[in-house]
Amino acid sequence: MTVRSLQEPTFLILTALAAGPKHGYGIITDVTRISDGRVRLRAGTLYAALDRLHADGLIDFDRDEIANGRLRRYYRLTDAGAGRLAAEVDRLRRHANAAARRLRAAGVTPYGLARGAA
Amino acid sequence: MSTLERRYRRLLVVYPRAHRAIHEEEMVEVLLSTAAPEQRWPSIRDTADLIRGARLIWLRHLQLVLRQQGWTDALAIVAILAQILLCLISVPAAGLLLRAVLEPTVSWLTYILLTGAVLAWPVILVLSLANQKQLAAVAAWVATAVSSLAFSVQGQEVLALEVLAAMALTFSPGASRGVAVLGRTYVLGYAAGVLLVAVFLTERFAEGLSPQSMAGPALACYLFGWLLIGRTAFRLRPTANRRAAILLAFPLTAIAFSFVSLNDAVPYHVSSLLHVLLPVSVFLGLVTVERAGFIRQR
Repeated sequence: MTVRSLQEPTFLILTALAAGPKHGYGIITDVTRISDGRVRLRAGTLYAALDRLHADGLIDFDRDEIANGRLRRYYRLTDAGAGRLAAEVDRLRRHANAAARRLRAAGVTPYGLARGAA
Repeated sequence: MSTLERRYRRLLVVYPRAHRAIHEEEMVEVLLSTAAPEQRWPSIRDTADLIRGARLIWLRHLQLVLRQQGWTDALAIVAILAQILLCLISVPAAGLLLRAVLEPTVSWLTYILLTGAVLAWPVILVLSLANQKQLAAVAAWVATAVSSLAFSVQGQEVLALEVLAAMALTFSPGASRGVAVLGRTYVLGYAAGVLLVAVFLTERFAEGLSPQSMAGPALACYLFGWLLIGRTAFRLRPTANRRAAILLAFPLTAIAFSFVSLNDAVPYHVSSLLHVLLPVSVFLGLVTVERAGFIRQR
């Protein structure tokens, strides 16, 4: 059975957690950093994604901490989550490689620089 | 507690209680961490995002409860059968559309509404069988909303069936699952049976193409809906089939009830039976839902 591709916010959340357990605000800042500021998660989107990923067994609660009198719950990637992220990375790499090969064949480098028209 | 925090907490009430019990404190922490220093009100984008997130979580939690209680197969059966019935109920609208085309005085809005009434449910059925479940569910709710506003002639009893179909498409694994549970032969046989009875009853009781001509398919729906109950004991999934039949019983009885009120030709004993069956079907539906523990879980 084919596995559906991950949506970008989900992919970025799993990528953020691949570096180690993080709390909600930590995930948001890391996702912004990973995406060069292009993806700015908001709380509603983040917690809908976390709820789904937890239900699917891809992430789990790690620990709770109190910082400045407020609760911070840390999330971590499960083995299933790491496997799912690895499969997605492999899928994206294969697609990127295929696109790069075809661009090279068409005389365009993957960085958008033309080698020169014939 | 700051004014902004209090306002965020008020917004978070839209989330399911179980979700709030686990996540409210950390969500407030995230919302306050991402807020501007002097911010006093939740931004419009944050508010919209929280409402969208709450909708997704409500939907997932409801689907989880339905799955745990064994309701998903029953709703999948309802999804396919209710759509077949609604396709057949839309057949008389095709006749009205044909008559409208022949009468140039009819407004363009009437053309659009009648065309929608004819095509909506067949298109939704095709979408749901093509595994476009989300698209089919959205289209079903739109069709239900439009028909409730535009077609007073169709009546509230058909609306109940439309709402049931839209709910089944939203919360079930999809109509394809319903076909898999019942078997393709049974579904085709059901569709053919309803069509034949509908044609016969329309010929027998309706004169020309009129709102009353809805009644033929309506009574056919009713008869075949109860036929489903007769089959349940012999199927592999009797619980799912019984629940589906009882869910369908109320709108089908209401449709038949409407048929009786529109046609003087219906014998008195049939009319009397339906007067009894209408409350009985509601009672059976409530008992089934309660016995399954769904009400208690909610």
